[in-house]
Amino acid sequence: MRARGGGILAIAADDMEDARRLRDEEELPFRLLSAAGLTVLDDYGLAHPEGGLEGETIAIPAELLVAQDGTVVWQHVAGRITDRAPPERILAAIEEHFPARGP
Amino acid sequence: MVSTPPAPHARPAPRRTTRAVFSLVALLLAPLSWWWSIDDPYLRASGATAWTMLAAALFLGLSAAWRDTRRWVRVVAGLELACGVFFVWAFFVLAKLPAAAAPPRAPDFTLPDQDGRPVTLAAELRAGPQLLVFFRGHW
Repeated sequence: MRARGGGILAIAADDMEDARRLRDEEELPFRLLSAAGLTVLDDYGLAHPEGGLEGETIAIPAELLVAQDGTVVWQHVAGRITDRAPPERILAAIEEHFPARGP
Repeated sequence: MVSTPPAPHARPAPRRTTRAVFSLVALLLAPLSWWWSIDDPYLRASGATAWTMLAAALFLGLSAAWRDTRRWVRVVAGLELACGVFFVWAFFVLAKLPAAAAPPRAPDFTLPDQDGRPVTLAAELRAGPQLLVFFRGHW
């Protein structure tokens, strides 16, 4: 994504403390955003009420490619809690929608 | 003339100790194999390794208990059946998510990042396209 001038933003209902710990532990190279207590998950239709271990609302796992005009050009939404888009599918979608400019 | 039935001679009860023990090993490997393969998206989503191990455990455990009437062998088979039912329930009921789809346009948001700095989608989009990854959170 960086090669396309863009980036990766990961969003969960964690608070900032947890987000920072996770990012440090896993040495993640992208920013983790905290949607704790906010309506962003609802706005995206990706809230899973009582999905958390303590009955809290958490995010439905999903990967969205957003073009610069704000349209969602590609998305993968999990149907089961273990579903994730395989990295090669995400890369293929990036290549399809944001082709690398030739050298 | 009446034929007399052959005298019952004591046959040792068949034992399937190895089978029963290996079935327990397979049962233990079922969740472990899923955990070890968690970085592979296909194995993670399908649970193929866990299902294979569970099937092996059930086959070994039940076929052992079929002949071997010792109590612990039967208990092992029962435990494996119970685990099998639990796996199926967890896989098909517990892990199911409500059907969802993101809207065609990404709603703008401003959210704090891991260091508390606000991040606004519209501003990030000015730099280039963004990959948004929604995830269930830490643990």
